[in-house]
Amino acid sequence: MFKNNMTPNSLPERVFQVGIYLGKNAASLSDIRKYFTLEEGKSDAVSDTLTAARELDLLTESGNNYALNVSPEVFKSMDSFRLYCNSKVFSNPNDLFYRVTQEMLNLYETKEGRSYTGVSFTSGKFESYLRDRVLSMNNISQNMRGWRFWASFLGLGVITKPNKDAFVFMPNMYVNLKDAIFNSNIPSGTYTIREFLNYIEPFCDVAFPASGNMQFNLAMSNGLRCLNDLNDAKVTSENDAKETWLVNEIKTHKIQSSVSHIQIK
Amino acid sequence: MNIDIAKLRINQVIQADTNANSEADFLATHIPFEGIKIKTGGSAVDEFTQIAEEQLFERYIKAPGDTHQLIVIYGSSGSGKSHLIRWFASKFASFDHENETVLYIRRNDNSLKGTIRQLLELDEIKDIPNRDLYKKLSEAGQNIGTEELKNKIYFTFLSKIRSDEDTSILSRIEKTKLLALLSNQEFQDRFFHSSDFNGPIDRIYRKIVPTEHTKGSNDTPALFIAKDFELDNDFILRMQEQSPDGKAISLAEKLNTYDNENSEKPEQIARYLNQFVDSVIQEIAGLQPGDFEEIFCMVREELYRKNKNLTLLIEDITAFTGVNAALLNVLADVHTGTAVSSGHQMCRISSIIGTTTQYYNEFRENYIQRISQEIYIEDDLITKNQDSLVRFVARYLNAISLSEGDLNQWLKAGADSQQLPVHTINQGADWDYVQISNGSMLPLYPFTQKAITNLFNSLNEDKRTPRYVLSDIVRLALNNIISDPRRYPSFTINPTAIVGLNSSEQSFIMDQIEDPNEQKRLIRFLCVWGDGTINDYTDESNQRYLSGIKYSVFEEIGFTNIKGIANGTPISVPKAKKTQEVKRPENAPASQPDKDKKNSQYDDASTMINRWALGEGRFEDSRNTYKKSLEDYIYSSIDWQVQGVSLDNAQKAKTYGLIEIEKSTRNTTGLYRIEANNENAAVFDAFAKWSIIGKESWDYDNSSSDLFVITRWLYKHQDELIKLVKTYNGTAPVTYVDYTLSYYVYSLLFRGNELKTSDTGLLLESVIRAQPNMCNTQGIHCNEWDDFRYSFSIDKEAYEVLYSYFNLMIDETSKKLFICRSFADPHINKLLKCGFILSGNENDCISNRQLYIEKTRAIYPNIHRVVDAEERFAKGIISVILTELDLSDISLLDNSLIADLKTYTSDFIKSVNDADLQSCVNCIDAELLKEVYDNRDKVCSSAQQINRAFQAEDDFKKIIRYSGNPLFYLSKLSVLLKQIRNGVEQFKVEFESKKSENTIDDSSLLADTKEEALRKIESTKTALKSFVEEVSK
Repeated sequence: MFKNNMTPNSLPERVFQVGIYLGKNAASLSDIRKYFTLEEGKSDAVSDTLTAARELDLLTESGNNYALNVSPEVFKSMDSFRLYCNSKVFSNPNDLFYRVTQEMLNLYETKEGRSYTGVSFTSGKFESYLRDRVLSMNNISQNMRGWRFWASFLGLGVITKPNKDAFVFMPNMYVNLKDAIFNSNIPSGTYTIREFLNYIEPFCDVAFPASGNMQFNLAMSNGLRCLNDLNDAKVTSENDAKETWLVNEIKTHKIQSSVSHIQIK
Repeated sequence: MNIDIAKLRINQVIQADTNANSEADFLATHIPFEGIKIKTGGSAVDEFTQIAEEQLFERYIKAPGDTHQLIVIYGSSGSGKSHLIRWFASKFASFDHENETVLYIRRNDNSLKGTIRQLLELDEIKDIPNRDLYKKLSEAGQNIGTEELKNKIYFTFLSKIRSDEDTSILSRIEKTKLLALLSNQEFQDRFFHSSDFNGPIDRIYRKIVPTEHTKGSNDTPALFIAKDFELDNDFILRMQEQSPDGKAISLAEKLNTYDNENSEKPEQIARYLNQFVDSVIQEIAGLQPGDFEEIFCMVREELYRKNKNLTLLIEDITAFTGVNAALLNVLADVHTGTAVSSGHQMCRISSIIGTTTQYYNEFRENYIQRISQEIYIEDDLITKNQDSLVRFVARYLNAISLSEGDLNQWLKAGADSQQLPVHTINQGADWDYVQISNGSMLPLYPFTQKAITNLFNSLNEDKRTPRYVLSDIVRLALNNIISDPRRYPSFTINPTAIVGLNSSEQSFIMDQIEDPNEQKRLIRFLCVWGDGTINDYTDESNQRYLSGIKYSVFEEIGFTNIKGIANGTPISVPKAKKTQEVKRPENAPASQPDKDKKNSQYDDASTMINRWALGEGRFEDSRNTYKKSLEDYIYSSIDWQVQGVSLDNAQKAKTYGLIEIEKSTRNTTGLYRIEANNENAAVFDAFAKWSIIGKESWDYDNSSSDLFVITRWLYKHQDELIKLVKTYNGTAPVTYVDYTLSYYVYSLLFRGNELKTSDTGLLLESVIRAQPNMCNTQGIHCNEWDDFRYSFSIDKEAYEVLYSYFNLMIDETSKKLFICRSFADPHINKLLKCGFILSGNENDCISNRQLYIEKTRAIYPNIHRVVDAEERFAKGIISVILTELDLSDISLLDNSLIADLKTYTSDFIKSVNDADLQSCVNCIDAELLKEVYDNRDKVCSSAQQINRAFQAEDDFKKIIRYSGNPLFYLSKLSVLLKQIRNGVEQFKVEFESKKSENTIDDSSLLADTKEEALRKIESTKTALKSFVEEVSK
């Protein structure tokens, strides 16, 4: 799912269910199939789900036997599961999921990208947009159908379906940033944006601006504003700050166009 | 403003009768009329030419010489006719006109009585020689109580109709019906107690006697109008209930405008009654048509003797209602010094009379040949452009802040407009100003130029006249700011004026203030007083502005520390402020800035949304576009399954409605109430842009702010939305799937489908994976069971609900199965515990969910009854087996017993056959015997099933046993045993018969046969014991 073939079969909630099941006991493939599909025959849904779980280091496979590789606490709730996934999913920039996510998070940064915001990202037209940007990605439409579930689950933004078969991505990394703050164990206190980014880099560098560029994309801008507005953190732009980072301008927002500090509660 | 003076002066300067103020106030507030339309009386409309007031006065009013003239000035109510006539009077007062007597009759309290009183106070009238007439006039209409006078008016009309012989308008029969209608109590109530205080009787009454309601502005003609007689179904129904007078009802039905849309009857009746108005008023007031003619004749004779001429200025001819026809006759009487037909010698008369257009149309045709000039005052003569409107207001504001003394001094000095004093500013120095023709800058506090224009445009079209500008804008705002400047503006403003800010700007401002009323006040001020932006900038002189208004103004009205958005290039600064044209409905294209259709469409939407958010208007969503957009967004954006909500449930909730919009024009249902607030408005505004400007994309300027607004909204509200879908009112979890599962399980069981209940996985398999037997016809059950089974089907939709509810699907159409076990198992366990009988009393507002709750509840009361019947039926079958086989318990039935039964029954048949006693053998079905024998294992296991059913402690467990169809083989055994019994009975009869006929010749054979049969039968252990005994006898 994350390495090189993003399939809609491996829904996050299916992986979560497999985790709960294996948290009780290790099981064979046929047990897992029987448990979730009520029959023992081959099932893409099960095998793709197990692949995603394996790629997230959630389980070990020994022969035909599967066992949990993490504490069952990971599956205590959907939030704990998401926190775990967000700690793992962007660990390799070569993964297809990483590369596609990076492009999608920057979709709104160019005029050309914005012109695709009324086009379904699973459509043929969008395929041509991505083909030039994500190398060696085949079966783009199908891959994007798989990407959407995890992008939404991991809190990279909102994916809407304004009409039949049209998927539109609206970047806002609020949930993802919240998880990154948690996963980074950043202590309470006020940090410069650079310090903050250093903390969360292992978990969401996929959304960071290129080195030397101090302008956040829309996903990060929206995420930082949401952290502030929904009282998860206080994001400010201090006049005398040594370094300020640009966010997407919204004149009517308290954070109009730049940020310098973040106070973690 | 000078607040101390203004407090005292508001009601002096702005009076209900706009012309009732002092001469000094009048002149200080006067705006020269330009573009007055004038044409020779009776000429065509297109012959109007334009003239300024000064020219008009000089050319036609000031000195007409010996030329007799009747000039009519007409226009809408409040357009300024009276003001112009008063200005003529003022002009006469400003110069010596020794040979011209000027009689100025003001509208004053607008009643005949008030007008007569005014007339009697004129010096020229006081001295009339006919004292009887004077007395008569002074007593006209006095000393009669209100109700009595109204009744008198009403019944005088009835009397007029009764005595009317003319049938040119209404026939005799129609008049009879009209009398019946007017005598109907319901109809009388309508005439007397009109809710808007403007019924026909009131209109006439107010023209006779002055009332508080009529002071100042009553130029409504005392006439009947068609609307007075337009009735509707409800009214006619009430009439019928109260007094079923056939004649009244017959006419009322013709006046039913709902059924007779184009009926001319109401207009015809109004026209008929109007011919009596004058005579009724005269009768009530005790006047004769000739009384006024006589007065003016005497005045004119007297003036003639004094070698003077008469100029008569009458503000409003309707003030003479009742005698106006007579008055017009006098005024139209052409005469210049010589004797008229009556023999009197009278002076020249120049009459200038004001009238509303409506009333002018009533008499114009009769006098057109005698009217010298027709002058038309257009509605917007003063208000048609921003400059004149603002100056008009500024003059009043100035006069209000000047003392009477100061203005009288100015008047005494000649009231030169170039020398008009400007008040000392004690309040509002930083507010807006306007320059008037003499170069003075008049303060506009508490307005800005934009505020005056915007407030004017927000008036109803029929109120966009100087009169309403003064009463509904100037006086209102002044009183408001005087009472509490730090709460200004707190008066109601038509929402149409509140335009300019988009939702995010509105939100930005509102976030800075906690009190919702204060938020609205500030938004109002920015949109109506300001330039409709929140631009916050400082000009080159270091003066800070917000929304084009000096920042200190905001502090004056109680808004401190308000921030706008910094903008290097202000849209407008006061010095170079663009003037906003006042709205002219008939000429809208000229005053509207050019906008492309898309932007205009969005602006309309945005304005509607923002007004709704401010509580100033309804949410106009007649096509459900906004509701659908937001619901589609919510539904497609939330990861329902991740959040523990099945797609089936989410879909059902969406079909019902995820949201309900507060104050929507469209009545819809929804789980989550979208309140009229700015946060929600910003979301709708974003969708409006996405749809209209972006054409369903986010590719438009500043779309990123909209993306932020709607994604933040979702993150903030999704937990609440999810809770409402998952639970009933946010508390108990929804249960429709439990009911659906219960229903479906019972529908399976009553059709003989196997249900494994030992664990949840097996049960799920039985429900989801197994191909159900849709119509089991082989079951052996009681009639009640069969009837009940047919009363409810195996519901395919119920199956679909279960399939999708417990499944983790890629989308709604996905068919791949991946059961969400942590979700499904608790539901199954819950139902197993309660025997699949749920006892809640839920009432689900979502009909698609409630449907299964109700369907399931409908089958519950029958289940126990059917189980009882099935048990009785089973016991009947079992009792035969127990009796025939002499068993104490059905569980004792075993394979060997059935094997023995088969062996000995076969032997018996063979022996009996050998004895040629075949008839008894025919009673036993050999095939059945074989079937029972061949299936003896099933017979025995069925016996065990039945035994467990008898012992089961609840209906569900019993049903599971009976559902396995155990009676199928047990009933066969039962039948077989009955056949054997019948066979033995038959054998006995046949044996006795043959014996008596001696057809059995070999007694040994018989004996042998008998013995053999007995021996073999007796040798069966227990099964045929009774049979043996029977035969042995």
